[in-house]
Amino acid sequence: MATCDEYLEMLSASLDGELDSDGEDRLRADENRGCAAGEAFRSVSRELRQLDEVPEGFAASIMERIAAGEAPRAVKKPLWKRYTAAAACLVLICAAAIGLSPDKEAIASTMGDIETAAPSVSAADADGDAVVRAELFASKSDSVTPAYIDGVVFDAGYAGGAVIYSQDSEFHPSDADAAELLGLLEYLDSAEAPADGPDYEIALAGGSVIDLWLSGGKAVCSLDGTAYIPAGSTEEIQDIIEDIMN
Amino acid sequence: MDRDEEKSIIARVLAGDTEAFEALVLENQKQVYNLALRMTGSEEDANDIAQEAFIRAFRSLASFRGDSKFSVWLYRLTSNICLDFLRSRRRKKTVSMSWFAADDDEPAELEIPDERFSPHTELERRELRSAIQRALARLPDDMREVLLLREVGGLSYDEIAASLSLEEGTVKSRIFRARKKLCKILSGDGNFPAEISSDKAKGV
Repeated sequence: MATCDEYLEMLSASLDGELDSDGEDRLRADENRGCAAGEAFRSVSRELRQLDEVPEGFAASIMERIAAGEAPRAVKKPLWKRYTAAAACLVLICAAAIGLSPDKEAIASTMGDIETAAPSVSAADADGDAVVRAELFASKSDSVTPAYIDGVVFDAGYAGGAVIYSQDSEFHPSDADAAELLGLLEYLDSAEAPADGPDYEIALAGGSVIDLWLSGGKAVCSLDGTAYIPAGSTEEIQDIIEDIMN
Repeated sequence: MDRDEEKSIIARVLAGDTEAFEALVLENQKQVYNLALRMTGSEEDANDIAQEAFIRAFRSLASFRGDSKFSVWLYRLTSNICLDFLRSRRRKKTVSMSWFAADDDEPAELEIPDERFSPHTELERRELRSAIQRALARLPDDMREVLLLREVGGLSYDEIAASLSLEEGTVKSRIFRARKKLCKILSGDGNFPAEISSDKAKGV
């Protein structure tokens, strides 16, 4: 009797019509063993083989483009219609850029027990309910490696970072990740910023991925191939977010 | 459409009968579109990529040597465009963070009880489909590509091997590992359903 793995390997080949007749006999002999994963294999294969219909006008569109003599082009960057992810991206960099462009005195004076290091940035939907909100926070930890941000002592020992709230989800980086994120943000607007820094990827449940990295001392946030660099006022960035959402 | 029909259509297109290409589009559009859809997870991206695949196939038809079926060549082209597209969306990562649902401490990894593998209702089918799509996104690109060329493109191991310059055994094993990994992700607990009985118990 085959092991479960051997059985599944035979089943996999059988699903593809690639098992010889001896193999098919062995597989049939093992069929009642009740290997639960076998049903999973069959089900996944069945599902993947269900093909969606093509969008309406698909073939016609291709033939029109051919007739027009259109040259092949790189696939255009996708439009981000998933506004929650896009808004989260913008809000993150907005918070990173604006939030840590400090009210220096305010931060310096409250270094002892900071709860929030920066104002929050939020975007609201048409009803005025906050849809996406980002806050930077810092809370004391035991590590005391000081870092300087734009001349302000910002203790990197604060286990802080960004929290993004979106509808009923929250994104909390782990302490280690938050410390790394702070390490990245400490280079904001610094003349000594490295040309390249570590890159971060924030994976969202719907499959979108936000990339965050440094370029020329600025935090850059990218979603689906479109990059955002903090520029403009908080209000201007919020206007952009609202445009996306409407 | 058999290979002779394909060859005949291609010959006509190369002779200037552009309209004849439509027959190749209609024959393969579903597979091409669904390949792109499964690779990217996005209908809009899939539409763009699939159209682009046909346009490029048309433009480079003269370079199609006919030593494989046109569909094999076309699906490989589609897959390449998908891989380029996916790569252009990514950057080198050193830290990865996951989006957590507010109430959970664990990443929102789907757990499917065994009975969900046999969906009975339309809702269950949609849920399974959605779960499989999310799991597909977590496969390495090369594993996903081979699996989808098989499942969506309907290519044989031999055709996939020739088209990707792999050994047939590699194709077979990659497909098996892709299925195994998908099921592992779908099970949610990292453990494959245990064997019902060991070899020892069965006296093998």
